[in-house]
Order: sequence, then C-alpha cells, then structure tokens
Amino acid sequence: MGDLVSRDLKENIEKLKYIFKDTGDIIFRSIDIGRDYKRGACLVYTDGLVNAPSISEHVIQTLFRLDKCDDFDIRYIKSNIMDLLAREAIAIPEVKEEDDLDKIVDAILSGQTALFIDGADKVLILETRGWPNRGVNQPDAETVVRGPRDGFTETLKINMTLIRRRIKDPKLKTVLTTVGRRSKTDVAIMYIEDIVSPEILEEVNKRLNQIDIDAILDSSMLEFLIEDNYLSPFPQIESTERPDSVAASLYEGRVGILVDNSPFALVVPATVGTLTQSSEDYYSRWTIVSVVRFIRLISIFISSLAPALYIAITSFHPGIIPTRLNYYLEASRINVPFPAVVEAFLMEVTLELLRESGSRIAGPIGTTIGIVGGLIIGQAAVEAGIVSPLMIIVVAITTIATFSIPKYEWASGFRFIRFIFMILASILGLYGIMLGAAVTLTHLSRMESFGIPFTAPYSGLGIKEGDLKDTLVKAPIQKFEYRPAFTFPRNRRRMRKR
Amino acid sequence: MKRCLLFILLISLLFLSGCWDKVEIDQRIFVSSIGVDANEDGHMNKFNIIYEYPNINAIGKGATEDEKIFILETPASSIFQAARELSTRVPFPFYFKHVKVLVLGHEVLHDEKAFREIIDELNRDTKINKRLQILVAEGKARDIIDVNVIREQTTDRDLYSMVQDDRSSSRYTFQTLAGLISDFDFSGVTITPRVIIKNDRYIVSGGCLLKNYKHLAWIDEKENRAISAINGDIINETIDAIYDDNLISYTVTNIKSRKKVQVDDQIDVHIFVRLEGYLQGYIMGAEKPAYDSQVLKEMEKAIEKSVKREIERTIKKLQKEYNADVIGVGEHISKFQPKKWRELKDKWDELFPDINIQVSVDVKIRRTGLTR
Amino acid sequence: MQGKNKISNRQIKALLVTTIVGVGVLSLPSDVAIVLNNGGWIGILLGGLISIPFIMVINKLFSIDPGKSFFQISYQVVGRAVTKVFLFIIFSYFIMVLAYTVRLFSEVIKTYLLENTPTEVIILTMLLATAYIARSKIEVLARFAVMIYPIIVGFVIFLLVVNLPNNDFTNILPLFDIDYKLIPRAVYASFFSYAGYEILLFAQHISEDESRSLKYSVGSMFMVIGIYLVIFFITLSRNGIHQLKREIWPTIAVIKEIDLPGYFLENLDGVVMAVWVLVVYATVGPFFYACGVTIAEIFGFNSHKLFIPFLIPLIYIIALIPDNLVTVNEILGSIGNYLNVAAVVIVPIIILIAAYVRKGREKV
Repeated sequence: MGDLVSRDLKENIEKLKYIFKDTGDIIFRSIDIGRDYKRGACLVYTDGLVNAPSISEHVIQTLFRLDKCDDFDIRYIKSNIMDLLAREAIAIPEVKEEDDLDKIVDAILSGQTALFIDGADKVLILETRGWPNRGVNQPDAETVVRGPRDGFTETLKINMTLIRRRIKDPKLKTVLTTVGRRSKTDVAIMYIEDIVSPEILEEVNKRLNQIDIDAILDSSMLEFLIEDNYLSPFPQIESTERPDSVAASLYEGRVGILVDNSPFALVVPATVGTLTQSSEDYYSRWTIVSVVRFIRLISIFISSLAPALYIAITSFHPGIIPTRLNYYLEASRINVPFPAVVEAFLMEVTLELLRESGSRIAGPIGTTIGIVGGLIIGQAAVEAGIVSPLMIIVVAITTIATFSIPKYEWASGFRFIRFIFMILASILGLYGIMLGAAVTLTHLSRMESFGIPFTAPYSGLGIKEGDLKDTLVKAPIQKFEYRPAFTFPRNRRRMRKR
Repeated sequence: MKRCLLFILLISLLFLSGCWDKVEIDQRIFVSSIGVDANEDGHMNKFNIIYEYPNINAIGKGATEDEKIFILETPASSIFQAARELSTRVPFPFYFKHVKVLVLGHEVLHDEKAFREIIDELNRDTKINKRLQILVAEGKARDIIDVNVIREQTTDRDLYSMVQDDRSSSRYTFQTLAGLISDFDFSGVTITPRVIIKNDRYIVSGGCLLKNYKHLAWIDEKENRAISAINGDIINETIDAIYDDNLISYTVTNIKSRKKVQVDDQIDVHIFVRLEGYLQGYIMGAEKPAYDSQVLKEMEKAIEKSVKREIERTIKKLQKEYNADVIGVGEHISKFQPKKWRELKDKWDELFPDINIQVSVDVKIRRTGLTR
Repeated sequence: MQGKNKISNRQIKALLVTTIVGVGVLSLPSDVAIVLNNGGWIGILLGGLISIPFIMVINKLFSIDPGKSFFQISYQVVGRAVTKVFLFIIFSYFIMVLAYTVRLFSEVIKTYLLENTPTEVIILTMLLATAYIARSKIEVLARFAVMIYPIIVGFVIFLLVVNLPNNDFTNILPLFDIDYKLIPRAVYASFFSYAGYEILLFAQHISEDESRSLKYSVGSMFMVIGIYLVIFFITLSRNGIHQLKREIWPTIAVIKEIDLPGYFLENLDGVVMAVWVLVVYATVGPFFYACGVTIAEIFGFNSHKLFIPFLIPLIYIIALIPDNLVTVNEILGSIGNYLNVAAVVIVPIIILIAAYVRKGREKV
C-alpha cells in the first residue's frame, strides 16, 4: 500500500507535484467552492487524455454553481462531502472514491480526473477519459466482400463495445487486468461463462499473471509471452482485427484477449483448423466455401513446398515429370548459369526484399516498387538468362499462395519453413523434402495451444462426429447443431432443429 | 547455444559433402529411344546399341535450326554398357527414365540368349519405365531410328506417339515391356509391332511373332487384326464385306470376346466374338436401302462371314504353321482349370496344333450413319 | 477437459494401422506369392487373423489392472527382476525391427530416388528425423498417426482406382488352387508384416475408454489385412503371377506402370516413394518411441527422452551389418521374426498366465 491521502489539500498537492515533477502534461486546476465559506479544491488530470469540455462543463461549472445554492452549505458538510458531491453535483457517469495515492496516480495517468477537496480524506476519481480516436474502420488485413466491415481500433473500450454489441448476454464476462510494470496496459479477458472450458480460462489467467515485463506495446508482445512454444515458427494464438470473428470464437467456447493500444485481439486456443478459417467463410454459401477451404490447403502446400519441389525435380528427379514438360524445363534452363538451388534462392530472396521494401513504404511508392520489382526485374532476369522463366512462375505462384492463407502469422510460418525445405531439397531431393514434411508435421502434432492439441480438429482427442464439418469442407449452417468439441465447451448445443 | 552450434555444424557437413545425386536438368542427356542391332563380329560386344536423344537447343522458344535429334551408336555388350562406352563422346551422363521406345533389329531376335539378356536388363533396371514400347524392325533398328530423324521435325517422339495411339486402327498392336514379359510368362508367345521402311518412311505394320524369346514369324496386318479380334483388343477398325455384290464397310466401335474351353480327351475351344459398330460405307442409289432391319440383318450376316473367315484362317495358320498360342487358350486353361493345366502344361506344344477351335461371330450394326 | 493426456480409441486405431503398414507392404505380395502362387492371399489373411488373438492377449493384460501401464502390471504380476528380463527381450526386438526397417528403407530409397547417396546418410537422416517424434509423448504419436492414416488409405484407394480399368483381373485366377501344406510357410512369410501392434503395450493404458479399445484394435487389424489383400490382388492382376514372383518390390513395380490419363506426372514411383517416406516415418517413430521407453524403464528412468539420441548409433551400426539386400532379409529379418514371436507373443502370454495363476491362488 502506498501513501494515503491526507486531509490537507496542500500536502496532497505537494506530494503529487513531487511525483509529477517535470511532467508537463499533468494539469493542476485549483478552484474554490462554496459561497461564504470557501473551501479549496483541486482537479488533477493528464492533458490530452481527458475530455476537457466535459470536465469544464460537468465538473468545474457545477462546482462553481454550488455558491448559488442556498441549502448546500459547505461548512456543515464534513466527512461525506465526496459522497454528496458525487450524488448531487458532478454530472459524470462514472465516479469512485479512492484514498490510495499510488492508485490515484495510476488513475490520473490513465486519463481519469482526480478531485481533491480540502479536509476530505478521500479523492473523487472521475471517469473523464477521452482522447482522439482513429474511429472504427475497415480492417486492413482481413477484408471481406460480404459481412460486417468494422474492425478493432487502438482503444480498448471501443473494442469491448464492438464485441458486446454482438453478444448481449450477461454471461459474456469481461475481466480487466493490467499488464506491464510501467506501461500498465489494460488487458481484457473476454469469454462466455457457461460455454468456455474452465481449464482453458484458468490457463489463460495463470499465464497472464506470470508475466512480469515493463511494457506491452501491442497484443503481439503479449501473444509471444503467453504462447506455448515460443521457438516455433507457427503462431499458437490467433490474432484478428475483426470483432465478428472474436465474437464467433467466444461462442465456440474460446477466450478472447483484448489489449489496449492494439487493434488486434488475441483468441485462444488456436488450432490448425481455426487458423485456416476466415470469417468470410461463414458469410458465404457453403459450397464455394468448401472449395475455397480446399484451395487454401493446397496453397499451404504450395507456399511451403513449391520452390523446394522445383529444386528437387530439376536437380534430382527429372524422371517424375512428363517427358514433354521435362524437355521444356531443360530447354528453359539451358543457358542459366546457376544450379537450381542458387536460382531459387536468388529469386526468393529478391521477392522477400521486394515485399519488405514494399511494406515499409506504403501507398503509391509501394506500388511502384511492386511494379519495378515484379515486372521489370523479373523480365530483365529472364531476358538476361540469369533465371529460367519457370522459376519466375514458381516464385510468383508461391507468393500468391502465401497471401491466400487467411491468417498472416500462420502464412509467415510457412514462408519461413519454405527456405528450410529449399535447403533440404538441395541436399536430398524429394527424400529431403518429405523428411522435412514429416518433421514439420511432427512439430505441429507436438504443439499445444493452452492445453488443446494444435492439430485439432484433424487429429485430436475428443473429436466428435460433427467436428470435421468445419474443416476441409464447411457444411451448411443447418448442420452445425453443436459447438466444436475440441475446445471442450461446457455447453455443446448451438442450435435446435425445428 | 551449444545445441545450436551442433545443428549448424551438422547442416554444413551435409552441405559440404552432400548433394551426391544432384545433377542439374540441363546437364543430363535424356535418351528417348533405344535401338538394338546385332553385331556379328564383335565378340563380347555382340550388340550395336543406338541412343536417340533430342537436341534441347532446338526445342521450345527461340529454337535453333539445328538438327532436332541426335543419334549415337556404339558396339557394346549390353544396353547400359553402351552408356559407358558413349560417355567418352558426350559431356553429360545419360538418363533413362524418359526412354519411350525400344526398337529391336530382327537379327537380335534370332539369338534367344541375347534377347533374354536384353529383356532381363531392362526389367531389372530401376530407371526404365515398364511401359516402354517395344518394336521389331524388319531390318536394322538403326535405319528406323535414322528415318525417324529425317522425316520428323518434332520432339514429340513420334514413333512413340504412333505406337501408343492404337485407337486409329488395329493393324498393329502395341506391346510394352511389362506386357511382353507377362505374355512370355503365360504362354511363351507374344506379338510385337513390326516396323519396316518404305520410301524413306517407316511404317508400323503387322507384327512379329515371338516364341520363347525367339523370332518365329512375321504376321501381316490382317492376321494381326484377327488376333486382336480374338483377344478383344480392337478399339477402332473398319472391316469390308461383300453384300449384294456391293462392297460395304463396317466400323467396329466395340468388341467383346469370350472363350469357352472344354478339356476332355479332346480339347474343344469355342471362341465367341461380338462386334458392335456402324455402317461406314455402302453405295449410292442402292437397291436395298440400309435403313431396313431385314437388310441390316443380311449385312450383319455378310460381315460375320467375312470376319469369321479371316479369324479361322488366322487360327489355322497359328496352329498348323506357327504352333503359337497367342490367342491365350493355354492361359485360359491355366486360370480356369488349373488342375488340368498341370497335366497339359508340359506337352502343350504338341497339343496346341490339334485342338479343335470353333469361332462364332456376332455382328451388330447399331447405326447407319447420317443417311438411310 | 477430462480427456487431457489421454488418447482416443480412434487414435489407437490409426496408430496401429500406421505402425503396422511400413516397409513390409512393398515386398509382401511377392513374399507370399513365392510360397503359394496365386493362393498367396490366404497367407496374408491367415497371418493377419493369427495376430488377432495376440492383440486380445495384450488387451486382456491391461484388464488385470485397468489404468496401469504395462510395466506396472508386469512388476505386479511377475516381479521386478523377471520384468527386466522381459523388457530386455522386447528392447532387443525393437532394436532389431528398427535396424531392419531403416536398412530396408534406405535400400528402397537408394533404388528409386537417390542412387548415389550413401546408405549411411539415408539411415542417419531418417533416424535423426524420427528421433524428434520418438522424443515426444505417446499422444503426439497418436495425433501424427491420425494425420498419416488418410495417406495410407488414400494411397490404397488411389491404387485401386487407377488400376481397375487397366488390369486383367483374370490374372488372379486360379484363386483356390492352393497347396495346403505350404500355408504355414506363407503365414510365416506374412507374419512379420503384421508386426507393430505391440505398440498397444505402450498406448492402451491411457486410452479414453479402455473397455472399447479392443474393438478398435481388432478393427485396425482387419483394416491392415484389407490393405494388404487389396495390394496383393492389384500386384497380382497387373502382370500375372510369374512377374510378381520375380519382383522384389512388386508394389512399387505396379506404381511404376501406372499411366495417368491426365498426363500430369509420369513415372509415379518417385512421387509414391516420397509419400512412402511419411509412411515409414510413421512406422519407425512409434517403434523408436517404444524402444526408448523400454530402455528407460530398464534403467529405471521416468523420461525416455534422454535415451533416444543414444539409441541412434546402436541402430545405425546394426542396420549396416548386412552386406546386401539379401542378407538384410536373411539376418535382420529372421532374427527380427524370432524376437517378434518372443517379445510380442510369448512375453504377454506368460504375464497373462502368471496373472491368472496368482489370482487362482489368491482365491484358494
């Protein structure tokens, strides 16, 4: 426990001024209240984090107006002045009393206003947070053609609202904690109480409490701190910009973690199955979605294996492709001075370079880089005979396939192992690739996300009949009578058939 | 940290010493056809082996005007020995997984041991595709492959495409390596297509009858067609027959054949052949229009007669002249009456010429084309 | 999550199928055909059916004290010292199987994919890769198996679909022309191909529903019999009995002949070999795991992770002992076969009998 608030206003203010030494954004606004018997008061708040018009209108003005009220004589009010003010004078929706100086400091820094009054041993904390928001925009990474277009913003409150609007159920619980010794970032754990498995919830709480770090700047930092296997190239926590996606996850018995200052919410547990779903899958007709799901599976293979296969086929096993294609391949490579491995690495590295520079500089210049890189360099490389045209095609398809995987982090994992596969292919050919695939599959099988096997629902425990309806194929919504079983929900029935 | 270092060491070890099998695709020579000729006075090198491979520079975009195909020839003791012999002449190793055609000069087939050696070598090799097409040249294999080069300007391995595509007629029946071996296993007799050269152009026509890895006889196109009919292999073929003093032609679209074998004191074989097809040609201003069920019946009869005659003639020749059971009677007995086959197996060569074979042909004309 | 650290019966089924189907499937058709010609299928069928009682024995073993591991039960029934002897037999059996499998695997890979790569490199890379899965928990093995399972089943279906139009199915005949005196030899030839169900010894006690796992284990055995029979008939019908007897690996020979109508791939043997790497991985993994667990138990360790790296050189050396493919089958194969009978058949039966004897005595 820190210092308590004393009854002496001057002492309090001095203490605070000492704490906030050299911090220019803290405002001390002293006022006097009362008509005959003046009493000193002081409002302390952080400039920029508060809604200033609201303070002046609902706090300062009403406090000034107190002189006009005859029956409100400040002299006779002693201890319960705060209570009285809160009840009768201050027109702010959320107020609370506080006497711990440290907490008051935290409150001021998080945008609340502290009202000190001379002679009172409590401070009134006024909820006056208000700062410029980005506003609810369409998410950049996960756009949909059909479906809601609102995305999370950097403000926790708004994000929570966006989810609450989709789950109007008292069982939706929002537990607020702070993480970060200095940053004191607000973190909200959201779940539906009678669906979520208590073990998962307990695991989430346990891991969040274990964190001891000075600052959390984005939800991704939190993600890396609480995931199961931090050495893996694959994410074990789903992150999304879409409130509808989080809401859907909560209905499946998963837990959402919202972090202030981050437009990405975390959803746990994540599995191979959930990472290959996109929220648009649920807003489109089931037939095409089933096709798309299958294409996504293929794109996972392409994005991790295509260049490696190119190397393996051209350098090790030209026998497995049809003769005519084989001659074509040979003809296209005949003047290329490098072995296929070098060629593939050259192109892949160039592409990563382009992607990196394109994403650092956004907007029109980024597009220019894309055109210069993709079209001109590619064309010139083929013309110069440094790479074969087929290699360009392979690299292009690989990149496109990477983008068709809905979750960016998940796709990045495959982007990374692509290079490992290329090395393996250049040493042992197809055999090397398959060994790599086996090890990758083992790695995925070994991983767990908050106690749930990562490979669920393809290979998990507790798989019930219905779970495979939402994997490689997506059944029509009428068939989803039950929630997926791999999260061990307490309440399985989702829909009743009429 | 130490583990990491160890891992990097292992990887670099693989990198430094590794890549045993790595040969870039443009540093291989893809042999597309192999020819085998006999080499009489070569002692150990009893074959003349011919490799055919495409000139990659002359294929694809920006192809040069050079020769499309290269041919290498050397005396060698075996097909793969030739690769070693020839390695002194070419910069890159040969690669045999895309070999499509094997042309055997017919002299090779007179030496049973040599033929057995070739087939074993191919069957044993891990690279050779078992669907390798086998052709027998009436003459030298070298000439066939040579003609292939002069005539055709493609890399499409046209000899191969031609043999592979036997949908257009039944004048020859393609034979793969696996098929050849399994035929020899079951009945000791097989047919491979024959290639001959006429006017600087090769012709695949008829077949070569092989028995126990030895050349037996040449058969012509008609005989080959008859044998295909008995075995039910015809896919597309046009048959002529005389009906009402007019020549009618009938195109077969489907064929089914069935054998019934009775083994008592005498072996009775009944072969049922059922043809389905349409009328391909008749005559303008015919007295009896074909669009008449009575006429069609008579036509069917006429075709039946002609087909039956052809088949019976062929069977007689096979029995009496060649003593070659290519129509699979022995195989049939071995599969359906294995106990009796065990008794017959060893004297099958003596028995086959005298077995009683009856043929029934059933022709159906399903359509008459566009006109009545 | 009542099911944590458990495996479901479905996973057990997949685990058994993927463990059993391994290198044997490539040569099995010709192995039995050499003995019984066209009647080889009966050897495959009987070899599988004979294995089923042993699965039942293992299952019964666990019903002595449900929820306990094989080691605990064995300690209870026959005592510590005898158990250690048993474990040593089982351990040497696993080592033998592993050596045999990886050696055969490397020979096949050398034949079809990498001609010039040294055997040593193939064996070592395979062992290193499988060491990763062998160091995992049995749940991980089960999850992995579930994902490999469709590959095996899909492969068999693919083989069937591709071969149906081209094969001459009269080649299967005569189906019942069987020399009955030779059946035991054929069963012997196929019996080793069914090795792998002993992984139950290490998996069944953490089954979600132990009472029903027998049904699934026997079901998986029938599945394997079905797979083997389908492959036998396809290889037989493709080119007939004579060529089948001639081939060392008829299953790949059939694949080599597949003519895909779409013309996208040719010479499918390379592709199938590559996929087969995964299948062998799923066979070697569980054996390796079991081997590690057994040796850890002999030395009284709780975790088997430590032992796996030390087993690699041992297996590697044994695998390299035979000079050629023929001696691989003669030496490693036959020793493995005898140890298989000892470890998988005799040991569980002895423990089971001992348990009944003890129980009987207690009642009296």
